[in-house]
Amino acid sequence: MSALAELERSLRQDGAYGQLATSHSHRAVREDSLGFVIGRDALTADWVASGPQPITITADLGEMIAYSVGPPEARWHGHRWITREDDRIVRETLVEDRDRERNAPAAFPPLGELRAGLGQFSAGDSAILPPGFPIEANALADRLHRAWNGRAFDEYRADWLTNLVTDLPDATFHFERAIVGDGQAAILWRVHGHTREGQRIRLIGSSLFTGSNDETIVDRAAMRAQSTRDLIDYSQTG
Amino acid sequence: MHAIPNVGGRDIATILEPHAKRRQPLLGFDPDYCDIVDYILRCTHRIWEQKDVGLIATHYAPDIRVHMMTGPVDGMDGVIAGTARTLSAFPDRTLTGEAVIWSDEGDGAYLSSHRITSSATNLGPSELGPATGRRISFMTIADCLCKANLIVEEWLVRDYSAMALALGYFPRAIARAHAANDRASGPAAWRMAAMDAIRVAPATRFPGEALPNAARDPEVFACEMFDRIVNHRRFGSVRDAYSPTAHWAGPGARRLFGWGEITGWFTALIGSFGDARLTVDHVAAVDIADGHDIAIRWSLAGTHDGGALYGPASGKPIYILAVTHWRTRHGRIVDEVTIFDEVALLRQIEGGL
Repeated sequence: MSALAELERSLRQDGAYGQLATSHSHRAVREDSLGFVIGRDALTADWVASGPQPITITADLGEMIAYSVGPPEARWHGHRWITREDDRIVRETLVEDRDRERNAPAAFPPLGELRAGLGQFSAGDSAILPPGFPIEANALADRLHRAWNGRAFDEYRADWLTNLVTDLPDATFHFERAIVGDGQAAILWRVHGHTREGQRIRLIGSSLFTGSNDETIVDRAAMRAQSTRDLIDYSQTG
Repeated sequence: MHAIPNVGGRDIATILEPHAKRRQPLLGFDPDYCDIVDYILRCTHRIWEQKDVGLIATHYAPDIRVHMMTGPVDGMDGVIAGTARTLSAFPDRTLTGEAVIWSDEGDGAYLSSHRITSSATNLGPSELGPATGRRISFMTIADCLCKANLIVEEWLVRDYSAMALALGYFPRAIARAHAANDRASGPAAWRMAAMDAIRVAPATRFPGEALPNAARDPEVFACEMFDRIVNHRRFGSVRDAYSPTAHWAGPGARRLFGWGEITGWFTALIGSFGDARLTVDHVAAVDIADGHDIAIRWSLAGTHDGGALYGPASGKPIYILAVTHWRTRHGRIVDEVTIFDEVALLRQIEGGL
């Protein structure tokens, strides 16, 4: 079991929050689809507030773990991705599918287009990947790009995808990070799209591929919260 | 001399533990500072977190000028008074150093671009309004010219609009109230001079397709990409300069992701100030694994002739003082933080400053 998986179990089940003093940098931040928790002190407070919960680690790729939390009748799933500097965690990206009410902070009106510079061209066959993206995951990213951005749903059938693209007809997926190993591959991605009312939705998603199975996590609660949140308007004075 | 460690990979306890050996000459600096990064982080901790505000007397030149978007502040006494006022409003403020990007300016001087994430509880009245009791986070970048243990000139940018929003205030209302107290005789002399300096800067030729190499020459890359994207409106060059999954943090605690949104920012900036001209005023770069951390201080002059970002066009002349921090890897920008004071910008739009 990786250090991250052991830490997750210690924090979730045992309440060993003091471990954060050595596992995380004082600068550590956590991002999810609604924003950031900034600093180790704030992360610690967040863990304390969450309270103890039974957890099962379902996949462990070192810097990414998959887990399920809670009793069988009310279980949710999560993927936690981390970035370390030396041996300390400086950044977490968290995706959970827990069904709950969430509040989204007010946001600025959206800027820019979703498909940068493409104009009327189709999505094409190749994903646009960041520098440093592992070569071993390129083929998988290209396949997902064709299915998700190219809408080749015959090549990838999943209710979550159909539902998401129904809700966000111009949904555009960006592949940000991947980890490959031990017959498993995980991809961290983001999707931006607009509701039919014109609200921009920005979600983080995570997919874990094991053999012919995959587990994809999207925070639909965050999507609901974003779709009703207030916009910041610099014209307003009260 | 030894390599100069930066913030990355070091916990606060390691950063601030005492050490003996100098890693840089640091002529005239106190012996307990071992390099310019250590000087900046350690004296910030002492002054702000340990509340030894009086140390400003031994760390700031008596005639220091601090440049801000609200105008310059001259003299060490003003720095001490301002620090005390901020600590009165936010007594538990912690200042987490996210990066110290520095350059050797010669003659024993160093330029440090110090990016800080502050966390603080608003327990006293601030320049933004009465105490709210709210706990907030906000970013600041302090560009400090340091020589012989003294900060001799500083360019300070703080995300005041993020502070105002987090405290529950309307940035426009604060700006309007401040503008009402400003002189009625139009833009201040310091601001007109700063804007004139930008407007008379010689224009560059329209850039061709060849791009500067970020990995080989980060300073040239910074200057040319800002000129290309902002002054020549080649917004499409965002796709050349940035990673497709770049993260962008900006004023108002905005967070953008990827080519489309970052392109949208530059488009909206020019959509707000159609005749904008930008000058890059200083660049510093330090090596990291597979890339660089680059600090770019820039200023912009223009006319508020569009409503993209800051409300309906007012026709007012505006001035922006900003600092941008880039992290590049494999020749592309993967992280950006840009800070300037939007409350001061709105104050100009309201006819102040």
